[in-house]
Amino acid sequence: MNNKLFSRAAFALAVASLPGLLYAQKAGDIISGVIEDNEGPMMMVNVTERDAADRIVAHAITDIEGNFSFRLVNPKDRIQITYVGYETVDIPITKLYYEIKMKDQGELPTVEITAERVQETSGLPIPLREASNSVQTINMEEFEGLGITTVDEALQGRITGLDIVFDSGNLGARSTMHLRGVATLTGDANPLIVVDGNIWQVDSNLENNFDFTNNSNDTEKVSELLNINPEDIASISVLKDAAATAIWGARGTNGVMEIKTKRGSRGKTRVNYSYRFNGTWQPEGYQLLTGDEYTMFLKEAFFNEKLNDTKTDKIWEIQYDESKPLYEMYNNNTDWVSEVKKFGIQQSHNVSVSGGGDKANFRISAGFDTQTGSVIGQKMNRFTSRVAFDYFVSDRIKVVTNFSMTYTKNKQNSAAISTAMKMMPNLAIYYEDRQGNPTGDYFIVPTTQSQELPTDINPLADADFRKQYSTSLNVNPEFQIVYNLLGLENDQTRLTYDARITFGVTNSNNESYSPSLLARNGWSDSNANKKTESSNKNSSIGTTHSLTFIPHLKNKNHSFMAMVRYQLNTSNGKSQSSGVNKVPGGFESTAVPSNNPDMSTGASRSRSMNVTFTAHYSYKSKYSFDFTSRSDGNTRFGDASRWGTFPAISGRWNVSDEKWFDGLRQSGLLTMMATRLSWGITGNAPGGDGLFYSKYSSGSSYLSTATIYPSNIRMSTMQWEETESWNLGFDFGLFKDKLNMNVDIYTRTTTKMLNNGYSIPSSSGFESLSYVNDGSMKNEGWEFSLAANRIYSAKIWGKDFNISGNISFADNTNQILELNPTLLEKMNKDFDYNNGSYLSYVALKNSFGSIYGFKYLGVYQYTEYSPVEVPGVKGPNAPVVRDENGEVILNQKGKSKPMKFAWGTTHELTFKGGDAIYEDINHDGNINELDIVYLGSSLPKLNGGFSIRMSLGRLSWNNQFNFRWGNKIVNGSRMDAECMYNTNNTSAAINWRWRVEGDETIMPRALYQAGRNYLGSDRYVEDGSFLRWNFTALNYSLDPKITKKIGLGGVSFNLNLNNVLVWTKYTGMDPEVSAGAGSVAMDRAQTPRSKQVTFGVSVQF
Amino acid sequence: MKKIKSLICIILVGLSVSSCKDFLTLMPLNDIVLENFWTDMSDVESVLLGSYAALESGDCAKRMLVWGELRSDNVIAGSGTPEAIEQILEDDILSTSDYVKYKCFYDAINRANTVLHFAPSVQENDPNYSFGELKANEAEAIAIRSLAYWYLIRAYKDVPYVTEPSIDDTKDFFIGQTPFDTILNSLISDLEGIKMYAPNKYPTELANTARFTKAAINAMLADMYLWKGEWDSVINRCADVTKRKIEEYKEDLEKEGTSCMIDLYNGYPLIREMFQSASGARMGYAYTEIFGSGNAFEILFELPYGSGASNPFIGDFYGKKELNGGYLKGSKMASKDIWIQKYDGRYYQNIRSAKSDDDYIVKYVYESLEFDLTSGAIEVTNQRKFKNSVRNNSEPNWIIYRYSDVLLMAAEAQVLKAKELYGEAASTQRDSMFQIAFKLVDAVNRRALGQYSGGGYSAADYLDYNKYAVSPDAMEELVLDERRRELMFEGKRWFDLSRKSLRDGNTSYLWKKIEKKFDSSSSNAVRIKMTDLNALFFPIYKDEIKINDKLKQNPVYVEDEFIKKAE
Repeated sequence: MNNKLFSRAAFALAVASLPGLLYAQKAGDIISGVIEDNEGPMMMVNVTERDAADRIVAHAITDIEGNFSFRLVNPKDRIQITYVGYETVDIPITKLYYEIKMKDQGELPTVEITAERVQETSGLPIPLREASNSVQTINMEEFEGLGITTVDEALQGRITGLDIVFDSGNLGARSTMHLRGVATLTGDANPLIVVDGNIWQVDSNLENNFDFTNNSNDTEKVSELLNINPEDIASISVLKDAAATAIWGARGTNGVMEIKTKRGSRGKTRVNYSYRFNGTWQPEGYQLLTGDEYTMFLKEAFFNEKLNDTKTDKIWEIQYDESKPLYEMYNNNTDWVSEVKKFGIQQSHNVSVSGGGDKANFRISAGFDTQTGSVIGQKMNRFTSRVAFDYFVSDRIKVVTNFSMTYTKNKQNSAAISTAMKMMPNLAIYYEDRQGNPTGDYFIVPTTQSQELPTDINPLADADFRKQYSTSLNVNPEFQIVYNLLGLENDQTRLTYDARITFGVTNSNNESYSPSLLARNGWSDSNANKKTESSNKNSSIGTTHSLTFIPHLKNKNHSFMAMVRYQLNTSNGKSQSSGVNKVPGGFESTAVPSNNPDMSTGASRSRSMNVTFTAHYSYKSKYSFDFTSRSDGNTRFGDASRWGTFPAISGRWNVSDEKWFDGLRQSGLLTMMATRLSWGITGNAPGGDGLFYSKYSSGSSYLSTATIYPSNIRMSTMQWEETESWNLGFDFGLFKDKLNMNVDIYTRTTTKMLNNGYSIPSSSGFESLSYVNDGSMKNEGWEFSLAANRIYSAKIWGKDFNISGNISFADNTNQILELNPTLLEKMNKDFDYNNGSYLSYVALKNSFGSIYGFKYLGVYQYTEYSPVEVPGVKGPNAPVVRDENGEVILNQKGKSKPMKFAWGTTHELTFKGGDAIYEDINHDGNINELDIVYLGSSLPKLNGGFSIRMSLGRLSWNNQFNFRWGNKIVNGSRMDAECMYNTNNTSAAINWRWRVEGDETIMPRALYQAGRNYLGSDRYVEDGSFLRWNFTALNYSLDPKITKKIGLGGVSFNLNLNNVLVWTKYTGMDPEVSAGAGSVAMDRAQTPRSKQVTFGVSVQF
Repeated sequence: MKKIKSLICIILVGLSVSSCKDFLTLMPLNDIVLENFWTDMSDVESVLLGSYAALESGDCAKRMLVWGELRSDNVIAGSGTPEAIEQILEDDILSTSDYVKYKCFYDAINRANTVLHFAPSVQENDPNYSFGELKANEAEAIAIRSLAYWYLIRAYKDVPYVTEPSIDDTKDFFIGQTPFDTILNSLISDLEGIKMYAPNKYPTELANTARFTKAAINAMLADMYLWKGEWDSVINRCADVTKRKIEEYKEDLEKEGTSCMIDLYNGYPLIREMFQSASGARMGYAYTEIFGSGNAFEILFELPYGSGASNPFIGDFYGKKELNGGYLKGSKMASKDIWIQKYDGRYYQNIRSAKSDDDYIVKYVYESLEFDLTSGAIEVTNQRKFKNSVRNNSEPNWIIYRYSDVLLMAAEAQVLKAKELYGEAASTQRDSMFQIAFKLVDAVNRRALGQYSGGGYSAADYLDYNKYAVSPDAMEELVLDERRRELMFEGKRWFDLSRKSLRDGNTSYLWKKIEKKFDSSSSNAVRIKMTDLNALFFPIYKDEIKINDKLKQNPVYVEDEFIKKAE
């Protein structure tokens, strides 16, 4: 309608001025009317004014008589009237008053919606069947109701090629995750965690680096996944090959774990509440010595050293001497380990409200967990909250806001089990009176105690009185706007602009207070009333702009889409730590004036930006190609190599789309087949800022004047570490797609490896360069996974019965192809002649993780050699030199030669009866580094997992297993428990030790601070193969008919057991031990993983 | 399409506000960076003092003592001696020993090199920084670097010679050794070239002994020439020092008048030992000045401890206040053989015999030593007691060059010059050289005897020229013994013995001196090892050899490693 006509008509109608006639409306006019159907006026009908972009600009609802009215915004707009079950009326605004009759829709026609499943990991909505990279996605529905705190607990054994090992069983402990092996020698090799498209930035300094009580265990890292409530997660995709991770550029070199959180969806508002009760307990550990066995062992250990009693006599604590005032404190049989164990309880409450309509979707959730550990003195509270809100401004514009907050407070006590294992079992827990009755006051070993005995602080007192908290607060608001610039429908050319800004604030705080009560030296102890505090503050801002272009091509055979994205991130960090000791009792603050305050502060900042281009092309959906290239700019490099560009190309051929395949498909045996090939390069930046600057620091003063000195050599030639990966994958659908099989073969070659601490001649004035690019490393392996969806279905008792399951396994080998000899030598340390150390030897082109050590042959029965056995004194099994045939070598006088250890060095030692026999491989009569042999590999030949899910009607049963096969572990904790070298309590196995000449046993004699009875040997190298039943979960949901009657949407119950059983020959606590690059897998079991039982209920309103 | 255009515009404008390069340039927050440094003369001064601080660091100063003293006949193991120290005392030196690490000296060298590299550009940009000041700073930096190399080559013979700073990782750090002679010549020519710019004195009194003056550089040059065998140059450099010292003495005399405590001994100005206290005549003034207070007239260069930095090694090695001895104690030879004069006060200033075989080291450990002279002179042979002593504050300075050292260097040069002339020149000519040498030794000796207020000593109490002038060897021995008496425990003795051995081309003199240190079981092995002149030097630290194949191990120590590997 043109303007002239419009105004003329308006004039005419203004004169007529009759209601119901054509009228010239203008903004601000009141539009009103009445709405009816066949039965009369309709109430609660939506009347809206919509503009050209279909935005709602004005809105009204009809009253009980069907009347409505609203103020007109723009006369060019339309009026739309909607009511559920009625046809929508959409008319132009031509008058001020309307009488409208709504038509019943009658029976709704069946609508068939066909939507392709898409994969969005590259930022493009690529149909799943055209995805050419290696990605594995898991929906969290599979894990619903499991008693897990962090999502990695559920993923273990579930993602092919992702090796998850828990550092310990303490609350909030972090897991080590390695995807397809470790491809770097520096920095963290855990995969990048991405939540809803944003890198989950958790400060890498977020660890408890405080030396509270000289426990090295306190350096345990806190899991960053702790900040994401598993209840909020919708799905997890693990991006494996370079083509998949290319979009994350340098950040994704260790793989990417993409987490998608749940969002609201259109429909009725749903309220969901779930409650979980979780009980945890510690597994049975080693049996330890009783007090009496312990004192006997110590007496022997002190005696054997010099073969006299003088040392033992001085240590009254093991003499049971009633005349001593503290006699009652040293005559007990305390089982310290069972004293520190307890039944841990976790309760969690989660509430979520979600819903949505035409204009907006939302989901709000909140969760609260409170947890006590299976070891005394541990407690963790967590509060999580997440808000996801999508607002559709119009067809073209969508605004998204996300907000998440996590608060955790963790009271830590990580050393209790390891301390308890060392504690003297004859020691009392509480002060005892003259009659030996405990008084209730904790007994702390006094400084007057013989110095040879362990001085560990009573772990019960420690748990009660020492305070060690770490709290963290994580807030992540995000705003996003999506603007469709061109077409809206699939058959139009689309161009979408997506802008988002993300804020991240992380505050973490560690506090500890150790009262003087726990200090052995009382008030003079530096740990007396010691208060420490440290805090980290980190804030980051990131912006992302992306443009996605999907042209509509006339020729339907071709499809193309592309995206360009620009990102910019900046983060600032501040840390502060302070500590005071000997503060007056009751003042638990570092602000108290004290004689030795300890203060330090630090600040850091970093920035990065990147430009990504990615494109997808597909011909008939049969041949697909992807290209991604990302340029990363990083503040960690100087001008010369600041920008790194990392490309990736991949392709996919859906073989089953070929005509000739039809026959096969119709047979139902092989219904789908595709092959994928990808290539790409990813980069890795060094782990420090400002390395390319020549820095000057202030040194000690000279002549009372401050001095300055150059403190580093700047890294001007440092480059990106690059990893080139190839991935060849095959996907099969078998038996009408009931079975899905994937096979992936990959190689990853890292070149220009970043090595830190590269030694240089000190004639430079420095000892090392912070980084050097040198050498290359290769990871290769294969992955296999098979998923069976309803492989068996039947009707049992009139209910559906289904079995589903999946199995996956993988293998990875890791080797160094080339490396500067100096660096190689640095990794291959010389044999240090010490007990307990294994040689880790890295040879070029050999796999990592080989274990080298001595061969353990048992224990010398006698000290003196005699060709014939004389009972009690002399015998043939004595430390003498033998030739290859086992014949004793005699000298000219017919005497045997003694067996030596490290002859000719300062570590020289002559073996005696009761000492360990090590095989003299070269028969030179000297046990030294030349007798060290290969004992096995730390790397499993195979690792993986499988799961079986069964459902019968509304009852389902879910089981998950994971396994490793063919690896060796050095059982370091058994070594500690059997070494008999110090005065710590030990494993009861040492009751079998050699005690007198002639004893035949495999357990050497006790020797205090002497001998070489626990050299790194095959004695402690054990088969680490295991099969673990990770969890078994039962889930039952009530019949909806019943729940409706009581007004609920749905009710489900679940019951599950975690860490159910482990089948293994390994004798340690837990065969789950990972080997880092270049070292052997050594089990230094701290707190083992607990067993859990969980009961949960979930209610929908 | 209009919308798209405007949108792209917005993005581009957003980008152009800050260019990519600026955005990604972040300076570290916790350090100063090169780009913001070297702008004015105070930056030069700060790093220059940083170079001194590197020398003063525990690692460096401790090695000056360990390298210069431990293998000599002055010291044996004391109490609580760590294994690493014991090994050096017993001449069983391993290439894995902590004390053969030399990084700390190269730290000082690198700092000095950094100053020399950047200072000229600062002078161009800072109008307040004059050319003279630049040159004076350069002289100091070169002197620091030379001193560090001087210790290195005396300890290791051949070492890597670096004169450029390590700034960038593009530099080739893997370099081999430069021969002893080449380095020595280079050090001498560097110092000779720059010494004219070195200041005679600094604005603050303390800096006169803690920073390099022209006199200190001359003393170091004299020392270097002495090793090189250029006797005239030694004599000339020493004369330069004496000339400066006499000037200072005259200034002091003018200022202090009769209370001036410096006397001329044979024409050489030295601090007087005897002084009058309220309760009568006391001896020990010079000791207290030199080893107690520090910053004394006689000091040419020392590392100042006390304010800020406390001496990190004297307490451990020589002993602490209230405790009996440290890792080291005086050997029998040091406590008996060389004390030939009845009234030589230095005996008490070096060694305290508490029990018959515990000869605790006194020098540096006590802040002041006073001997009561009212009832007569103290005698070495009769009394071994302190009349009065004040315990040390454990912050003694570490002396590197002092004037009596210079006098004895000149004496040594005179003797050796005469020795070269032996047989050729007329005996009168030789005799006059001996006369000069004796005068120098006697000056140092006379000061040590002090003067007894009750009257002078008899002629027999002083050194007798005729006793030593019989042969150049006797004269040489006199100088070396006097050096030992005067400079005992000052990190000089092993270098003296090394110099003598290199000069002779054999170690028989050295072996004669140190033989008694070893018990009969180990003595033979050490003697055989000591026949090789390379055994005078230390091995290069094993890890240095390991990472840098251009470095050659001292041949004496190579064999050891070979045997160990063959086992």
